[in-house]
Amino acid sequence: MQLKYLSIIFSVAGIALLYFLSTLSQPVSIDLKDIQNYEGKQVIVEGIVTESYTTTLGSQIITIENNNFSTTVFLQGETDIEYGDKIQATGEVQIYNGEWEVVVNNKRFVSILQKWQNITIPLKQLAETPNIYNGLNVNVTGYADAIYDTYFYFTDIDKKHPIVVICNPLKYNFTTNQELSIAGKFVFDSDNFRYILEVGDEPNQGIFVVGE
Amino acid sequence: MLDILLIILFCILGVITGIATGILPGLHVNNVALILLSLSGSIVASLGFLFNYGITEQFILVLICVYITAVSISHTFHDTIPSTFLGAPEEDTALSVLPAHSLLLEGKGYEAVALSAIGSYGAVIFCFLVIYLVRFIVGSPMFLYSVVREIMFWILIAISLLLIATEKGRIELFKIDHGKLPYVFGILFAAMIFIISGVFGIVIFNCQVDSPIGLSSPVLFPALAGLFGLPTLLTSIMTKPKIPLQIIEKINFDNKAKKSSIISVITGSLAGILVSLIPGISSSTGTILAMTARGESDRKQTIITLSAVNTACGFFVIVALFVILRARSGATIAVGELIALEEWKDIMMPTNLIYLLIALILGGVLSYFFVLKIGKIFAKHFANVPYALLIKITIAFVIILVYLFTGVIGLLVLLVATFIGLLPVQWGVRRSHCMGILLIPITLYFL
Repeated sequence: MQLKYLSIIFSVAGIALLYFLSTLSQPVSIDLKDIQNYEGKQVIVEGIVTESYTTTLGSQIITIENNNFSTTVFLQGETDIEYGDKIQATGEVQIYNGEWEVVVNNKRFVSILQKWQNITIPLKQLAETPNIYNGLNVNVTGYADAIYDTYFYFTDIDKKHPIVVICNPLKYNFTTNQELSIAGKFVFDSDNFRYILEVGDEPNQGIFVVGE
Repeated sequence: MLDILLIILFCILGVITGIATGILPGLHVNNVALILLSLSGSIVASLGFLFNYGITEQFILVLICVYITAVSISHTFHDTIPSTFLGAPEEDTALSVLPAHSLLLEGKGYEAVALSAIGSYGAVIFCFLVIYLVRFIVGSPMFLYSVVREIMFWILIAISLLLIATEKGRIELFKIDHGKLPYVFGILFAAMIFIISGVFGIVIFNCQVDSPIGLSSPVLFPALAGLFGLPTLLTSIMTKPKIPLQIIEKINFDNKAKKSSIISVITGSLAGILVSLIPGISSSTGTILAMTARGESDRKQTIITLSAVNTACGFFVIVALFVILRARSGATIAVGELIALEEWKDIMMPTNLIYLLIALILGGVLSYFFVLKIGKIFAKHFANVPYALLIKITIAFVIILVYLFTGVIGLLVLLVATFIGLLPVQWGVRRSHCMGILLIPITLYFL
């Protein structure tokens, strides 16, 4: 057979072989604490989004945290993640300005494993480790306590960890001692030196009575 | 004063290194830049004595960037030598091989090198003249880059269609050798090569390569060496061309040729600037755009245009690094890693860009004279060189480099890429269709 026909056959067969090999060398899933051992390698990382912003040139810089370790995901593109979402990113480990980061070429390689609204945490957990959730969207369960015009107290069943929820209680239909699930932003109120929950008019925020 | 002297010194060293990397076939400037990046720590340490003269560590890193920039610009001048004399092009020079190589076979190898030098030198001058214009169009206040980014998917589709539809090769199938059908087969075959290369690109971007010497290079290195380098070398061995004695004479342009060359330099440079801004398209695609835009396919003008595209791209990737903050080449990735990139927002250029511009311009001027001198030496002695042996050594050299930078998987990628790269050579269509390797994955990225 002539070389020009053989070239077609070998090209297609070669691509098939490389495809097979590429499926064998998939990126490894790593803990954020081990990232420095994987420089130049393709890895999969997971974590909660604690910071995210888009540069003027359209790249997204996302900070994720997992088991008290955090790293930056540099995404060439933009994806609609929110603070508090649990995401998975696949990319190459690189060092930039002395910091480790995972460089992701395409937004297809960043997936949301769980939206923050679907990760329910008890109020007690929030009270014991507030620094982990500071600035994030959270979905917390607890009980309504004293209700005022622009805020109400939200506490656990033993009334040990009360927190102020800034919202318009009249907008929602609940009464004292009812079990609630609140989707809102957990932030530090520096004026009053306390943590609060803010429930605004954003689409994913709200107060729901458990069981209704 | 010492700082300026050091900039000039590192620029000269860069030009000399660029001569070596440009003449060595198969060694792409991106690989050189990444090697230098990995050695930067040792270079800073070895230059530690400069601290005593008030030179800071930051400035030493700037000097390394000046060096890398000078290497890259010098490389774009000198890589014409192996593509003319050996027929061993990189992807960037693949299109000029046929014209340059055919001039060599007519004994006009030196003329090919000189035409290429004119194209590159012209591009340096043109790029310098339009630097502010491009800056204001691409960056603030016009922000054309942001607009282009929005419609990038369609731009890339248009470029791909243009690439395929302008194929003029004839393929005689089913014993049809007249009428328009052979041309239609040519276009269909071009589309097939484009798609095969694209699928190949998608597959290899998921392959992990490992360097046995710890200097991992992108998987594109063996892929491009295979698509554009080895097929020509293998064809050279198979066809055993006889290289005649080379004629060395000064190029004399008449008025028409002079005008035509100026148009080649301008269109080539504009295409090169475009290549430096749009991801996924290479100098060879830029040349097709430029040649289509000006509607001329004379081989001498092709050489000038391609060299202008190649050098303008090498020039503007550096400028783009400060305007759009995007690294579009190995050299700019290295520069971006080493020094702070201050966005060029105002009239005044960032200081680091000024240093690198000195390297680009001084490097360009020096390279012009060096490449003419070296081209002359090659032309004088080339008829006495055992050509087949030289080609075999070149092939072995490329294979060794691929193994050192990308290991066994890299060798496999090289092999498959070579078969794909042989398709256009064997079937007589343009090799640039192999650019599907970048165009298809990047188009999908913008989908």
